[in-house]
Amino acid sequence: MIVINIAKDFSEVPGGRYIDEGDFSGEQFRDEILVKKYDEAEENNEILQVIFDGTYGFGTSFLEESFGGLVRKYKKRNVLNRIELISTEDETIPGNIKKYITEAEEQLKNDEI
Amino acid sequence: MPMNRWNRKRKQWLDNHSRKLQKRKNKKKKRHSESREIRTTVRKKSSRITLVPPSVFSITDNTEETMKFYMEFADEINNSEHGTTFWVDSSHVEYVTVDALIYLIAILQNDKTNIRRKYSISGNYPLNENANKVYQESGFNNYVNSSIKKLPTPTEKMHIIGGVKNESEIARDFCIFVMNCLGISRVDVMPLQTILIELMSNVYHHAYEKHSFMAKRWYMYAEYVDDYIQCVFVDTGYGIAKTVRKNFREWIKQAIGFKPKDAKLIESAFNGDFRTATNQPFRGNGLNHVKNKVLSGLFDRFEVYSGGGMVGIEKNGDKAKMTTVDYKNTLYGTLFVFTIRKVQNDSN
Repeated sequence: MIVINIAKDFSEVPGGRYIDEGDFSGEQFRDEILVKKYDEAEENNEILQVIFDGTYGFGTSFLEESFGGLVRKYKKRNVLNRIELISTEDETIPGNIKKYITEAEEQLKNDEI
Repeated sequence: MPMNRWNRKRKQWLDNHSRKLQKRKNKKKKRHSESREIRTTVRKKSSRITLVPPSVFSITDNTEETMKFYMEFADEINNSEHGTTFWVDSSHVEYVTVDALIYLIAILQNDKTNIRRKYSISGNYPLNENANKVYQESGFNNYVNSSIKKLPTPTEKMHIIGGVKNESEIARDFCIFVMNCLGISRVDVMPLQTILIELMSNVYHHAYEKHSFMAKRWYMYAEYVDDYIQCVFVDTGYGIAKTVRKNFREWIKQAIGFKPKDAKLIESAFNGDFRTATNQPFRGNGLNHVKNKVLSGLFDRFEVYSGGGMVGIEKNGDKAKMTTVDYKNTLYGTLFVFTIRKVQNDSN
């Protein structure tokens, strides 16, 4: 299993959506960490575990850009089968991310049609 | 915050002592200029406009009058000639809250217009001791040139701080302040961090347009009073009601002269109706997320003043109870005021 602990591997204070908006953005996290680890998990046919605990909190735009953007920018499909989301401190996070991924995959499907 | 020469010259704030000195200096200057011989060039004396804030200078406690004051201030700036000097006479202010002071700072810091129109803003402090104390302790002096010594940040207050981008580390500092004052954990203050990030993001992406009169900037302040924390977050952008995307029915109504009420538009944005001005389906969750975080139980009172409306969000069981108020006057931008109360132990 491949693990990303956001607080340890990225920042305990995740920021906004885009890199130009400030430090520790969702775009930065996705491009520098998430996509690399995701590709590694795909190559080795492993599960990618993402741990959200230990931070001060996440904005919706950070989460949407990281995970929805993974589908939109890198055209990843069936992302939910490859990742495991761990968040005991804020239980709403996994549900929200699942929604963002599902919506982005549907949008991608519609764009292709 | 270091002040450049331009700011020092143009943002003079006078206390009682400096006021007397200034009077003496002006008298001397006048005498001196009268005794001089005929000048070769005639320098046009630029106009001076005096603005008087209401004696209860507070957006939350005296909304209409304070909004009116700032509307008039903005109008004067827009309509005045280049090089005008504005004198903010706060001497008779008897009660002031930091939300009103932050707006004054926002106008002082609005270099986008200040530099173009070359105006300067000066003023004085209230004679009332309590009101004067609010000016000193909030960190107002960091934004003006004053002879009053800048106070170190008191432990029960976070000085007014401003920014342009999404500064999650500043948001974290506010969270740590709340944790220390109320004795709560990092996990407890997570909704606060999330809300501050959402608000900063909104300022960066939505609150301003290219030709906005005000510079893109947010301001934040927190204080610990009587067992609760009060946080103030201000931006001086277009306001939620102006920046949200209106639906077809609202456009038609507006076109025939029925302007939708600002409070209703703000409420709708908080309820998560698709109102993002970006038109991108994956955007526009921010304000709805803020509302959901208010329901986390951390907040005691959450009020949003924007344009000509106010929306209060309260936790009512599992749901949110929202109250709306519309005003005659309008506010340039958005003000968020929220309180976090210290939870008393049963044993106490």
